[in-house]
Amino acid sequence: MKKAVKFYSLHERIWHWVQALTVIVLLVTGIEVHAPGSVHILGFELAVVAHNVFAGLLLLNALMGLFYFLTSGKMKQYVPGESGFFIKAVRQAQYYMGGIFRGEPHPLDATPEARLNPLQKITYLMILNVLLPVQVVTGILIWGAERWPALIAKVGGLAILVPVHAMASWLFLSFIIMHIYLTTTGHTPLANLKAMVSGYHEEETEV
Amino acid sequence: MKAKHYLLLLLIVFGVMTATTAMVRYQSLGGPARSDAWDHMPTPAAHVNHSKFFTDAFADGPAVTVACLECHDEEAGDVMHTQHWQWTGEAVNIPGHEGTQKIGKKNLINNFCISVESNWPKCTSCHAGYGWEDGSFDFNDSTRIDCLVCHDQSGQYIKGYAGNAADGVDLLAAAKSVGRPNRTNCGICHFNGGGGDAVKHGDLDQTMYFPTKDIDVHMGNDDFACVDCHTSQDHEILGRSMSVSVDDTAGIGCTDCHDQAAHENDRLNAHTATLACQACHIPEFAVREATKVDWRWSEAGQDLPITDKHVYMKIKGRFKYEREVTPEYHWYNGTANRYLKGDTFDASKPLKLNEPRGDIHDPTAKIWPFKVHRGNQPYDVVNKTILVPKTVGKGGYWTEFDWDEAMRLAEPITGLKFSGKMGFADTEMYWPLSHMIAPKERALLCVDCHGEGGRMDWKELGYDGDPARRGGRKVQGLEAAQGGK
Amino acid sequence: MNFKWTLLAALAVSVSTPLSLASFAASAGELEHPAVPFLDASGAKVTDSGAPLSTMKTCGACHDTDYIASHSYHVSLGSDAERSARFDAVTYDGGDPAKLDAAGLDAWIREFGGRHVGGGFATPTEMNCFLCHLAKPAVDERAEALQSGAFEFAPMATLAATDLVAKSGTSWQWNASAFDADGAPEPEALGLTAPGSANCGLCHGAVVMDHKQPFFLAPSASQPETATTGAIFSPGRIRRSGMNVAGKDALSRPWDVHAERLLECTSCHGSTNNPAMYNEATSTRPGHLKSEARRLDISEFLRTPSHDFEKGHVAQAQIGADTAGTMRSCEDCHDATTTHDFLPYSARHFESMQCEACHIPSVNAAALESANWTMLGTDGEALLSYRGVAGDPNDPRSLVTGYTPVLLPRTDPGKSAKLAPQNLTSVFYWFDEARGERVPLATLRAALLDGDHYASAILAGLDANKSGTLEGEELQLASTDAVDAVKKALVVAGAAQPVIKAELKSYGVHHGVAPGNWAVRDCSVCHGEEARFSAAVSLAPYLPGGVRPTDLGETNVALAGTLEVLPSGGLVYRSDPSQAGMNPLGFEPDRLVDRVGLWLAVLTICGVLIHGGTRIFLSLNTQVPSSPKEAQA
Repeated sequence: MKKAVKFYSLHERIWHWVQALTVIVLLVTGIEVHAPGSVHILGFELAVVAHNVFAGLLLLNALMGLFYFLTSGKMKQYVPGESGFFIKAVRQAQYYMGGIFRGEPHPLDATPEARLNPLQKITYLMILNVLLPVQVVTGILIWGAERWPALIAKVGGLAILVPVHAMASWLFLSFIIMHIYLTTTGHTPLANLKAMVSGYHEEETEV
Repeated sequence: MKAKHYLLLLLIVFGVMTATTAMVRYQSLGGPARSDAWDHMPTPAAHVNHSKFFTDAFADGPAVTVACLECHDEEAGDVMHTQHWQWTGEAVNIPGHEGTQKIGKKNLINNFCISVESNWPKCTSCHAGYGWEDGSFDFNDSTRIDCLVCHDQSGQYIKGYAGNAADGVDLLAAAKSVGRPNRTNCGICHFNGGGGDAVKHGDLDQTMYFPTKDIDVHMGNDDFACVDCHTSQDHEILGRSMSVSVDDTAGIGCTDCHDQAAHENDRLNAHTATLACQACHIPEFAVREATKVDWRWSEAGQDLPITDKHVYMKIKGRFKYEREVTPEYHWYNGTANRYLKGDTFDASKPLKLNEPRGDIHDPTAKIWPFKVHRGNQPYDVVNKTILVPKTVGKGGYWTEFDWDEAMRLAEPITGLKFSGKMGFADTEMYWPLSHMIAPKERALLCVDCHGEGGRMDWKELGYDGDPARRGGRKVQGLEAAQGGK
Repeated sequence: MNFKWTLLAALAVSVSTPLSLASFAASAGELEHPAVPFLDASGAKVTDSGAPLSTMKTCGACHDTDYIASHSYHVSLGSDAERSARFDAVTYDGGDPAKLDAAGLDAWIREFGGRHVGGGFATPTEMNCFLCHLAKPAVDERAEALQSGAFEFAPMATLAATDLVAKSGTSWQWNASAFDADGAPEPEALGLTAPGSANCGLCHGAVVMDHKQPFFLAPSASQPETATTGAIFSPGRIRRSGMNVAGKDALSRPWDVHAERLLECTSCHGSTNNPAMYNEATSTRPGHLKSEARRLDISEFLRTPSHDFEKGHVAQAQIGADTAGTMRSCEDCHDATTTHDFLPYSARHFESMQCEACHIPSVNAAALESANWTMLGTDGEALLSYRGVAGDPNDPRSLVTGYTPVLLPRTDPGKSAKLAPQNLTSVFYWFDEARGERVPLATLRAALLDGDHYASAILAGLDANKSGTLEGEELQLASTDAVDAVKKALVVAGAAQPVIKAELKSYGVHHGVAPGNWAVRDCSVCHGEEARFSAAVSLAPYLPGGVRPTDLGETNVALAGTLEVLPSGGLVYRSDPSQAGMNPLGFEPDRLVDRVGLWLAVLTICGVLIHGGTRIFLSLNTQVPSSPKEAQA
């Protein structure tokens, strides 16, 4: 019998999709600022302005998301460190590299209280708690090169900030490619996408 | 279900973000909002094809007019009120004269062919009517209105003696072709004033039919017709010529379409309180074809071996033509003094037939560029009045070369007493320039007026010295509360 | 040699005279100067003695000429060190003339005195007030007088355009009828004026104030600012000039907006103690004062006007260094913060670039590219190559393509580096290692030339096609044999150990400023892969003797980029602003991060395609379910 299990609250879904769209806009406008000859969508000036505006929105969204995850307790889901973490991680990796081709079931049966497999936990931890802050901070400093020239010079100037910001952007791009693909590894290829839109996983139960 | 609302929410959020971006962008990149001059372009009336309305040939001009009046009777009434028909304006007070009078081409004196009175049939070939041969022309006869001169689009309509259609003109074709006046309709008379192309105005001649962008930016680059600026209300065409009008009502100006503060540069905008737009935007007049700048009637009547009509004609005298002429600059508040027939004057200095009014103290006056036409013409030494000779027709100077006879024949018509003693007085006529507007790439530079060898005579204009170094008339304390002279 | 110099001077003069006449069409207004008796060197009236004029005595009657002559770097050419460091790549003038002996000084004055105001170390001459204070100074006649050795007649010769003097043979006579009873000429006949831009232009660069006459000018040694940077100070519109400038019709802007807006050279380069413009320098002025109101009285100033004029910081000809940076600069009149609303990060732009970087977007004239003094032309002058012109710059028909100045970091004392537009050039010359100085011009000419053709020894070594003269590649000293041939000739002529040296010289482009709406507005000019930084700037068409210049030496301008020798043998410079600590967003010559990142993304995509493709393949072709759900079904 089909049962709809609520996985993602409205807060989470809004946060997710705003994050997704702003990151995509930032990537596109970012490439136009970084290599103006390669992309001609908005023009250099407008790309800079758009990048700044959407960066501000991203920051706002990220902070709101952080607030939500902390206060709702859902932050616990992201923290690795339960028993047997490493084993589970290896199992998960094995699944992706072989088991999935053989039609094996997921090692982790996701529930609303424990949604993320170990690999996901590690990835999201890195993305949200390391890469995103690095990106945001370098971005703010590049934008602030105008206002705080002394501070910028202390951290090595634009010569350091720009390559770091650029490298993080490429990593984000790779992450997005993988992330979108990996959402197709659910019960059905579109199950996870539907869940992130409607909030519900439709599942067969044993009843 | 929720997905729909979700998407909607996202779209709203996205829309807000994009709008913010756009606002931020255009906020920082926009300049002062300047209105677009094109917004003020008149929309022409829809063209009505008249070719089906007329089938039979017309006997003469008035016959065409009668046909027009079958539908356009009201317009006829309008036309008969206008200066193009009356050759005078509304009654106005002319400074220095009592009461009000109607003046115009009909009764004014100039220093070209002098006066229409007693010479009608030649001059009235440019009248917007048929058959004005003499003083008895009936200005109330609407069948005498010439509709075709302004509305013909066939290109073969020409007027001749006393304004009648010339022989050989196909009036039917002309009638069928009528439409919104084009450059030829205006130019055929206005470009040839004074007896030939480019003689009179200095800024109106046949180059204005198809000028390049460098000669006139509106006609050459923006494809204007005369009537785009000279719009009309009930056939009263707006626009004032200082040669026949002394007031500035029903005129047109640059600011009808353009902002007064039309420049990005604030320093240039500051000039607009003192300088007419034309002063900087008409760097020269008679850009391609030479215009007449001097006409000495005193030399007429001799048999000289000169064949160049731009130098000498026996009937008219000696001329000087110039092209690419630097204008003269004078204060002008839109009104002018006018010498009227019968006024006495002091012949020891040049008589200004139409002097622009205004001076440095007059806040409504601005510096305008002018063509000044100089010359000498007959005057009555005893009565101290400018004389009107009969030049055209039987007994006229152009056939008999007898000044005495010319004056006596004209006397009963003009009312000017002729004492028998005639001399030649120096006269000047002022023509403010508004055509042949150069594109901004050719506008005057700062050094053209303010540098060494600049074209302004500061002292003559009333300044203590170059306002670029001493300040403008406000700073120099010259702009008084009271008006000018 | 004198004859050759005359010929060259005549050539330069024939080009510059019509120009100087045009330039004088609109010089500064007439002064109402009182009639001044002309005195000779002994203080007697010239109308009595008939002797030549002494400017020191004549003008000195009211103005303290000793003070003036001793407070003028135009006279002193700077301090001893500054004089020694001089090297003009266009004329080869250099070194300290004050150290020459009497004969050497005599020769120097004959050769280069026409370009010196006189006085100071050039003891047989006097500081010539008329050069700057006369409406039409006859510089050519003065140069001729100096060149002929008649030094005392130089001031008189400068008056040649007035009625006061007449030439007779090589000397000059006074026209007594033009003088009044006190021995003073009529002020109108003399025509003293405040120094106008045209006066400065006589020696410094092309100044054409008559904007109504179309002019043509070729780069000339008598106008070094124009020869080295292409800057032309004229109020006229470029499209109305007689120069064959590419795209001229669209160039309705004036050559220089300040000239058009009625400013003169003295508007920015005034006297350092002119009370009308004086403000105490920031370094000495107390912090609580914005401006020092106490200053010289006007009459005091007229008596002792300093002729150490306010100047900027240029990399070349660094004389009068203590007046460097005193001139009126852009910020003294313009407030950029009110007019640059459209510019994002405006403070960053102002901090990292000089105003001229955007406000002189291009130079529409020819400018020096390379001065090669290792070989001479048959006229005894260097082989000069120019940028910005296709063909011979002396030919009015050659197309003037102009050039975009390269942006180099310039560090003024006490300030941080800013990118400034420069014309980067190279100069090649022979250096005598034994004497530790450049091989003198006379020696060079003696070695290379025999009259007006090449010496036979040189022809023997270099004339490959036996044409009887040297042309094209034969002048390039491309082989060691050619270099050795010249070395031998130089040794014979008196240079003990000649070696070829190469230097880079950077000339700041500060004049020829465009009006605001012509300034650079398009971000992609600097921010983008096609940025002006990416263009290779040609520095020399070939390297004589293969010698490469390396850097700009000790000047306030530094290179920020790399020098590269092309396969064709030419030397080019490629900018890399990151070397100056500037990182314009969007322009990064080395995109390592992007290459790595792109590969990462590509590999990810490949991985995704392979993984997903396998899953799809399997689900379509075998019974293996593609997803767990299918497995359960």
